[in-house]
Amino acid sequence: MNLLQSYLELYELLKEDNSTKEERRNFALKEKIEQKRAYEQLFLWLQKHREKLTDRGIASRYLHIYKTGFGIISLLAFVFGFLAASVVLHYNGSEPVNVIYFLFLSFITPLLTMLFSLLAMMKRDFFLHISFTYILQKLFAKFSKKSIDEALLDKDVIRWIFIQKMQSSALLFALGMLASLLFSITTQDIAFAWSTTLDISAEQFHTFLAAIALPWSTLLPSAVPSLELIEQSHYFRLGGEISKEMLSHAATLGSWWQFLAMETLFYAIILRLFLYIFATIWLKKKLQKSMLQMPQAKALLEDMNQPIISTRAKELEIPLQVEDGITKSRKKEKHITYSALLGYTFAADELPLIAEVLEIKAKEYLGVAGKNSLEEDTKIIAKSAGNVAMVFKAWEVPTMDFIDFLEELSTHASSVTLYPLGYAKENFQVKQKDISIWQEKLKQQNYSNVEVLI
Amino acid sequence: MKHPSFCVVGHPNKGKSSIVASLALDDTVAISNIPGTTHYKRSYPLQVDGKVVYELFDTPGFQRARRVLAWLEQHEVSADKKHEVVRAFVDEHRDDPKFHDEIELLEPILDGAGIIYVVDASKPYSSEYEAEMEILRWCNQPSMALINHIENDDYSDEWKRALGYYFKLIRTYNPMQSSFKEQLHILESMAHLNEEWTESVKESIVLFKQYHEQMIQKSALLISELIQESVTHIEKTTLHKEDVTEADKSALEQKYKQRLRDMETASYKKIEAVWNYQHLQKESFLLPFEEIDLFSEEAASIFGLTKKELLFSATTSGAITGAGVDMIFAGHTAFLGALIGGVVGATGAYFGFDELSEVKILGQKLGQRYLQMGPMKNRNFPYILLSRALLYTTKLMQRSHAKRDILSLHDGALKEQLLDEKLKKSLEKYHKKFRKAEKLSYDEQKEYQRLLEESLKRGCYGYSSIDSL
Repeated sequence: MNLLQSYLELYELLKEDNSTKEERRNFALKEKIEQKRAYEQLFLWLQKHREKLTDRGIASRYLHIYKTGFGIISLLAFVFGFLAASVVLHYNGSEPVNVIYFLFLSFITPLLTMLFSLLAMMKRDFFLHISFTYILQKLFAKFSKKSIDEALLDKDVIRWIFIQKMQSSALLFALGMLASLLFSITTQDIAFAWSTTLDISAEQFHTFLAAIALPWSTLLPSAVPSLELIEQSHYFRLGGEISKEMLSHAATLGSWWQFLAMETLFYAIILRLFLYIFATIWLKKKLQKSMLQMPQAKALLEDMNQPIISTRAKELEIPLQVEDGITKSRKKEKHITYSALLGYTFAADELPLIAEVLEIKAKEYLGVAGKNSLEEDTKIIAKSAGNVAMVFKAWEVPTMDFIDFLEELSTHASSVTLYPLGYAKENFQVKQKDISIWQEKLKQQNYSNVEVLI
Repeated sequence: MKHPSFCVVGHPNKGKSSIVASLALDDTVAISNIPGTTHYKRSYPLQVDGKVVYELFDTPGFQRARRVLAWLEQHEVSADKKHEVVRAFVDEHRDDPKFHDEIELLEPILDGAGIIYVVDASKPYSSEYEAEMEILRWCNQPSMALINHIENDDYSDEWKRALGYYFKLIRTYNPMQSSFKEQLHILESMAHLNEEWTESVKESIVLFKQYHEQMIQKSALLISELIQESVTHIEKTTLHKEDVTEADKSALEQKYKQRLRDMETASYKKIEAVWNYQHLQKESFLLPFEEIDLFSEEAASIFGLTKKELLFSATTSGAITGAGVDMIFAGHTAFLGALIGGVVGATGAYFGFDELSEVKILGQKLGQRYLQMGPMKNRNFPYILLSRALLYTTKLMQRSHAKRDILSLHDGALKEQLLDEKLKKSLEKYHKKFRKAEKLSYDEQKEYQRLLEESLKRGCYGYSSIDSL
């Protein structure tokens, strides 16, 4: 019962729980949860969060119906047992009580129902649809104002609850019978006999009863009916009256009660008790398993047990805002003569060849940046005048070093014409992708006397 | 001891952000071919339960390397004091917008970060890089060079010769095509930069493996939930009229298909989140229904119990009540009570089902007539869904977080490899249960997930165990 309560409470808490993975993991680290078994971890979490449960929650409402329902069934089982035994043991003083009726109720029926229970234990869905808990769950889902998951209880758990409750009800039924037997023999002087239409001799009946009484025959021999007693208490309805021999042994006819009490105690109570304990253990196992299978419980366990590993940046990247400038681009022209041709990160001796390929001329060829020092570049800029051309490696992206140089150059030269170049092995042909990058960068600049030839 | 940190630096547009995105498994890193996309340094810590194991910095590229170097070279100091000059430069120019990018990239290095200098070996070497490498040498921090190949040309040899002058450790790494194994190798290299960092970086390699394992487990769980939910899904529509029209059936079918598609899309979104994808663009990948037979069923229920369930319930309940009467009469009734009880219960339920379904309790109708679609009985459906999900996840696992192109999801061969006949056979018993709308037990669920995890690992790494890497 406690485990079922824990199950339902865990179900309710997890349904409502909106803790983050971080909070769950912190809880696990604080409670050193990793050394514990999975369902122990769940219990610990439940214990620490139980105060959040309310009387109006699913767990308490369901448990209330569950307890009331099975409480009534248990009470009825005991009353039924008492009444059934009272009817069977009813003695009117004129006819003896036939022990076979009682044997049927306290020996045959328990064995049959125990067989029935064993079948139910082995076969799934055997009892599912008549299960009180199943109907309860369906009704609860139908009429509950709060919607409830159909899978509040797993089908297998419902089966085992029903099996366990069947054993406890049967146990109470048997206790009711035993109570009734003891009450009857205390308050009445009952004459027991045995009677059957079947052709069974006293010897055969004795063998049968001795087999039944085998478990206690050595411990309690007085609770084993003797052949003599069986012979003396053989009752024949024919004639409508009790035989004289029975009457002569009237005092001994009552001694059957010890056998009946022991037989009820052993077959209807002790064996049932074993079955009840077995069913309880299995129910516990099923509940534990079902608890671990609850999707929210699985998520909780995962969150608690898995370290939070993250590799990502915490802050969002701030995009760079750029504004357009006025630097223009236009198509290449040939046969132009410049006052100087500067090669940005080119050596001076590479430039005449480049000029030839570009079909332009220059009075001076100068390498800038690259191996040059800043001072050297400053000197070159200082003496730049007129129309200056500058070639640069288009495959390299523009840096601010380039922009600084260009800015300074544009203040000295009357105009600066930029020639982006591709690889020499490709005849300096520029890839469109590279040109786009340069155009994108240069159009942000505000040089009225600078233009890019593409 | 402070955790190890590594600063990814270099010329603009050499793939620094791509390298960081692939190593940090983060697709939020802004990557473009426009220089200066990265304007601020950004930290990517590997954290375990809030504790930083190592930290990676993405930085803007060098913009005014020559000017910085010129400033440094004005200060004639011995080698052991050079890093102090760099610090002096940073302190002096902290508020100078001209050197914003240099300050951003130098600060973490001066705080103790190892240097990962990135170059693009698909472009020829040029002397203008020497100023950058010289500045890094002034910082006097453990360093390595990473050769990237943005395009197909290869100038690795000239780059290696030049880099060898400045760096002891040179590795080649293409963030666009890097596998998890290659990412781990780069981390291994980083571990050797500084003896003090070795332990932490090695720990981070173990954690990376654990992280991948976690992500695979989560993906397998999400896939198994998707298959289970989709196959067992029942779409119902309450019937208000006597006859079911074609329009009713068609509307339900559309709803059913849409629901299955929504489930798949939602599941893929979750898998993307598991693999740290926030901006993934992919091809249209809608679940096809052309080759799948769908069917619908007309039924009714009372308390949510179907006629069959109610019939069984009423029969057995009646029989038990009758048996109680038999017991009270001590068997005199020869179990006639049980028999009568069972028959009465069954008859009542059978003939009374329709009438009962019209009864109202607490204003609610006791029973409902409905049209139902699902659970999916088509045997192929779970495999179609599964192979798609496995392919999708494997594609995510294989994809570098540096990629910004559209994810292609058409790979028949990989699909076949991920869901081979052996795996299909192993999964059939579970799918059988799904088709009957049955849930898997805890152990079955675990086994189902394990099979999917193995398939994902085989598809991505070629091994069924991550430790083989």
